[in-house]
Amino acid sequence: MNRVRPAEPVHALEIPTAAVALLVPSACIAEVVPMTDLAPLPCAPDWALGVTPWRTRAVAVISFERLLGGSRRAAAGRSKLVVFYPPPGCRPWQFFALLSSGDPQPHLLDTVEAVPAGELAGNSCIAAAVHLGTRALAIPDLEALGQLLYP
Amino acid sequence: MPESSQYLRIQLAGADYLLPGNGYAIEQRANLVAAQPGDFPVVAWRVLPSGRCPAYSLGREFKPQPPGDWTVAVFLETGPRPIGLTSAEVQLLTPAGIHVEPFTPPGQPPTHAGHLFNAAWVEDARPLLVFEPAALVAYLQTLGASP
Repeated sequence: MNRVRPAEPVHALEIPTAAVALLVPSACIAEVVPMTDLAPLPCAPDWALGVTPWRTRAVAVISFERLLGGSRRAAAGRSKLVVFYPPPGCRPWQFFALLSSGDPQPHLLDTVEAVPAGELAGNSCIAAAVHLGTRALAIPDLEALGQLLYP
Repeated sequence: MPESSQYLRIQLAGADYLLPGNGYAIEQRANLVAAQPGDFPVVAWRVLPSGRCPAYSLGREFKPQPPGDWTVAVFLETGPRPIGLTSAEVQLLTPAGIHVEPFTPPGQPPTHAGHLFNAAWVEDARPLLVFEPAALVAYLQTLGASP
């Protein structure tokens, strides 16, 4: 296992999903908002759950477990929507939201331990896996995610 | 994303959408010819001198569905034969008070003309997606009625 020490401590958000917990730099996230009823998004892939209003925009809501090939699960009472800034290479309005299965948790990271990605290895949406305490978290590849969402 | 001088609010399967521009005709259900069961997915026909034009009813996922509780059909202009979709209710809106923002649906476009929507308006914390008319026409044409 490789210990990775960033030049500066990094603020990150742990986002629980039904499939895997994600670790994302806080700078990528615009806001965490309560789950609302989603408007339909016809003719979209099955990993796109619908559309939510966010400020003056409509934002597509994505299921990460569906992106990983899992089954669709209903949003739980503690579900939140994590609104991401447009991924690298995307247009300025291409925000998206990820459905979390619980409250995202903030972390200030100065050292993380890279671990094998296990069954997530080879998935283009996952850049790496790390240990945080005793838990393994996946770091999404936001550039690959952007290419999938907005090809 | 071009601004439009007017929008038509269309209710489809319980959700509202906006159709920009004025390239359409609205027909009351009573003025259309009901389709025969074998005509499905067409639910009604508009009869013109140039031929008959199909109208479709769409469900929440925009799959064709049998005729339900609709009152009007909106026929989009596309060459000699417009193509229609049914709606429980339509409402003409002027752009005053409508703040449309660009919106890109995720994933691959479902039609050769691109995504069905290219903008959205958030009204009272409710998002209304704005159709890209050419893509909507292309999508309806894939449903495939014979005139």
